[in-house]
Amino acid sequence: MNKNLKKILLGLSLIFISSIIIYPIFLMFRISVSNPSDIFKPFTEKSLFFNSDGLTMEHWKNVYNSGLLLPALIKSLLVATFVTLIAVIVAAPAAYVIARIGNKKIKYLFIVSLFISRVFPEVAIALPISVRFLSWNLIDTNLGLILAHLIRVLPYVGWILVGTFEAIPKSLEEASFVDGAGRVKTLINIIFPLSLPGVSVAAMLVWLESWNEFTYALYLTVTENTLPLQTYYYINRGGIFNSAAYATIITVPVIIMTFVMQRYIKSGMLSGGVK
Amino acid sequence: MKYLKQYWLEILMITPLFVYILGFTVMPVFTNLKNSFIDQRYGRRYDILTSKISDIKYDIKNSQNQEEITEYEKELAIAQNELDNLKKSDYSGFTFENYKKLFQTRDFRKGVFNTIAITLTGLLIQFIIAMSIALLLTNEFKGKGFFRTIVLTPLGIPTIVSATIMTYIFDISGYLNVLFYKLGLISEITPNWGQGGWLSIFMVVFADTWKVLPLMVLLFIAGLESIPKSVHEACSIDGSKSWYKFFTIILPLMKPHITIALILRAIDAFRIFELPLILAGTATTPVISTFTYMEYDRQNYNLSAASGTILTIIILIFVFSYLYVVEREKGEEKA
Repeated sequence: MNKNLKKILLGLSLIFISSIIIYPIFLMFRISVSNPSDIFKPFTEKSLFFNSDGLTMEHWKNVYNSGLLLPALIKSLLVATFVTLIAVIVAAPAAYVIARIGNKKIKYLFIVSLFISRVFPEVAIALPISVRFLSWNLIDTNLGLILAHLIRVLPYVGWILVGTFEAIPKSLEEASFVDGAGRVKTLINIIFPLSLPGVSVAAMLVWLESWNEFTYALYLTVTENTLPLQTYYYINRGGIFNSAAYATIITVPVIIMTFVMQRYIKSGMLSGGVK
Repeated sequence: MKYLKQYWLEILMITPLFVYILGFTVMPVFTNLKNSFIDQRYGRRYDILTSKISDIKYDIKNSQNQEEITEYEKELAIAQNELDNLKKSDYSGFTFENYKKLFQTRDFRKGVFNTIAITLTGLLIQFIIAMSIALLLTNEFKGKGFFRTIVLTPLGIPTIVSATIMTYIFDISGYLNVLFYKLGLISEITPNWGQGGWLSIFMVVFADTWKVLPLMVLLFIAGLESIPKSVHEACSIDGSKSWYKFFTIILPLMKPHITIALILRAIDAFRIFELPLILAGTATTPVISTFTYMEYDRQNYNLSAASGTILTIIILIFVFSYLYVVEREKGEEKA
């Protein structure tokens, strides 16, 4: 009896937790395909799960036809892709060097400085950056946003990659030296291929960071919105269906990528701690 | 020189990253600090005049007409004169005016209170729930893998998206109120979650918890797994009750993991920006970071810089306490 009761309690708590976690995502999809008559009902008649008036693709068509989606989508894609490329090119070599520093204290100092530069509050950095970018004519440009996203992303990717390079045994390099390969050649032929899996996971995480980024985009944009800003724009205007559609569009690549990466992600990577 | 010859490649590889961090992270933080000690009235006037002067200079350079140029030069002289006067005025120079003003501003004091309230209640709630889920996941049961996947789902959801969804849920005729109505908890008069005070704080904490719970669960699972199996076995042989076992044995053993997770969370909670901005708005529920943004939006750059500097200092205190804790743990491990 007692055991059965325990089982039922366990089952109930599992269902309770799962539904709180899943319901918001379901609601987003649902609103983006609902008829206004279902959503704007007086709240005493609203249903939590079902639409009495059926589904519609109207809002998706509106979003597509508004002419605002494509520029925002292109800007978000371009910025995220370039941020990823530059971040990996700049941070990977540095991470490799940090990973190979023999002196433990110096190495720790480097890693800690990466960690600290990641946790500075964005609102404090974005203000001087936006004033500076205004005088450099970088407001509302892709280049400006790329430079700003790099602020956030570089220490992060550097920090992840230090772990990746540490996992590559030093003896491989030494063997390559013995064979007579130079340092640059060793880097390109031995280290680069071995680090590729780790680098690609880091690249995906960076791409997502830039794709989702909101604060710098808010500070550095007047008219040329990214997808998150466009969503914010509709929330401010009470455009519930548009914001739901945009939020869904932002989420799709995220879900695909997290699904791909699930096996490789470790908790430490996301929390950004020093250990 | 010898050093340079030996390590040229390493130096070449590491320099770009740290030059970037120096130029685009460290420098702005110090610029902010500097600007926070400049009087707001001086700062704005100075910005206007310098940009005006550079505009006129640009015009002079691109003008062909001699008459126009003399006209511009007159304007330039006036602007230059004004700038000189400004530099001699009472406002110029080092001042604590911004910080004084901050603490006299009601919204900022409210922001500090809200930030602390969100951090503390958030940490407490997230700790309890995440720990319960992590403990739940140490049991073996059917569909455990599936449940784990569900719990981890919000991990990837962008904050902007979770904020968007939460506006549907916490709207005055939103789905949380619908649920409460269906359960008979409220009548036709609905609570307005965005009205400010503890209701709004709860709303932000709920939205934040939904988003960060997976990470906390992962960290706690890692902590639970680090406890050796023999400890669990010894407990069950002793026949101690499970809650007793939890409080006397598991919790103390997990202390390092818990401290680290909580400090990291506190850092993020103090920087919280999108959720309060989008869900509650700055009028009723400012936090330090949204207050900083609002002052920027009103072009009170110096006041915004002061508020941002205070936030930076708080964050740095957390960071150094975190590093201190990590270091101490390392020392204990060695000993």
